[in-house]
Amino acid sequence: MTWLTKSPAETRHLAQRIGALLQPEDVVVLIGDLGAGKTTFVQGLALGLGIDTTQNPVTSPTYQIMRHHNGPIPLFHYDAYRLENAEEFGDIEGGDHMGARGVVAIEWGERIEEFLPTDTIRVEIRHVDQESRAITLQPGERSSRIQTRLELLNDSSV
Amino acid sequence: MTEDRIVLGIESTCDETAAAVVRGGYEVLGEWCASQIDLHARFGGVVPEIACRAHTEIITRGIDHALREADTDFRTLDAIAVSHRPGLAGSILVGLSAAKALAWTWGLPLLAVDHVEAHAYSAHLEHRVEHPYLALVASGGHTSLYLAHEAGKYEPIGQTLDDAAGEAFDKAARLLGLPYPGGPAIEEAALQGDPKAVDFPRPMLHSPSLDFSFSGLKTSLLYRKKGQDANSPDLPSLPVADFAASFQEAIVDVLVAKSLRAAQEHDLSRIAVCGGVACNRRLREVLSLRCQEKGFSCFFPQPSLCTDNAVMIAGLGHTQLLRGQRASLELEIG
Repeated sequence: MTWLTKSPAETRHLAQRIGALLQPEDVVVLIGDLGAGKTTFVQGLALGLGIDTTQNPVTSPTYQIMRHHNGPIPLFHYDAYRLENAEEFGDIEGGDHMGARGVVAIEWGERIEEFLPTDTIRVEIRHVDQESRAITLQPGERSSRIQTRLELLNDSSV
Repeated sequence: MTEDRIVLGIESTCDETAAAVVRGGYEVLGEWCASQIDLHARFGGVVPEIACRAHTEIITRGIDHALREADTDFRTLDAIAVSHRPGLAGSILVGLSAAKALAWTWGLPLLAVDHVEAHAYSAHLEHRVEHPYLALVASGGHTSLYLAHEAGKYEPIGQTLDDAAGEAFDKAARLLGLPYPGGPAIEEAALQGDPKAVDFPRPMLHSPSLDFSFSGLKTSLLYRKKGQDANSPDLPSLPVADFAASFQEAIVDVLVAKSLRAAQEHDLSRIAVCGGVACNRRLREVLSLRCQEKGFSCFFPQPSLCTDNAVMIAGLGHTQLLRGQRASLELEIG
């Protein structure tokens, strides 16, 4: 399933609708180049999860590697941009969830492929032009759950 | 309680492992800092496991070094201050564990310091900037505006909604093929470039909020560099120096304009710029000039106090000590 969004606001809105369909322990992997809109997408996911981002906005976790957002379903927002060697990721991931069951979103997740669960929700964001993006939900068990729900809602395009 | 208590500060939130012995919140008796930048440069950034391992290997030696430089030992210390947030969990844990272990062993109070607030304090530490003042903290991980009401009392009034200013420099450097860390690389390249060559947007410059957004600027650089910007297709032939200078100018303009506006809105005439990005000479130059025009004064800590360090942690810890604040030995990552 592919959507075309024409602005960061549309990308955020699409992600918000997907975020509303996520469940604890879902792992969303964001794939896309620098400036594709991965953080923008996660901002939308957070809204969809019902997280109050006014005090603690969803910002790029590049420097910090992981940011944690509390809410009805907590969000663990990772960024593997600076992780060149996947061996280093496992250690960080293990200790940081603090026992909470939440949604994990990982930017540059393809860099840590071997640490991802087998069933992830893969979102690929491709540049179309400066403002527009083609956003694809790659096939998978969890992805198809979301896809079916979006279709049921007669909501398959932006 | 007298005001010249001696505090050992410990910092390990990200790149730097550092320890410092500071008397009275201002006077540096001993200082030690190991940057892992060389280690990270090979990887293009901070690698958590490397950071964590490197912190562990050197932190006790660092503390020992700082104490020896101060020509003292634990018996003269009054407290231990440690940065417990925000940052890379695995790295923070190293400094935090060391601080808790020493506080327990030596029977000293433990003080929990917010790393970003300590940056805001660093200008006061060096220049004794009179309160209240406006503090802009801009680094790889943070871009925030604070009202510094008094030492240890900071009110956040604005922050980045996506990328931090230092992160924008790092990512722009990568897009331009310049080395890590990106801030100094762009600054150097910019010396040979024309800051007006590429017309970058000034994100949120005219928005009434005091928040920042630098993510769009990065996308804008990407498209202009590739020649896919509809309005300016001829740009890719420009030298990297022109891109670097123009990009730097856009970030500096936004940081300066928002800081001045924040100061005006809150009736402040003193602005302090702290954090790694405060080392940027163009930022210093432009802000100094604009402050002069408005009759404001601006302050920049020396580079070693701008980047991550333990002096500011000990300094801010001292203000907590005087207020009677204490952290529990159960203190966790904040």
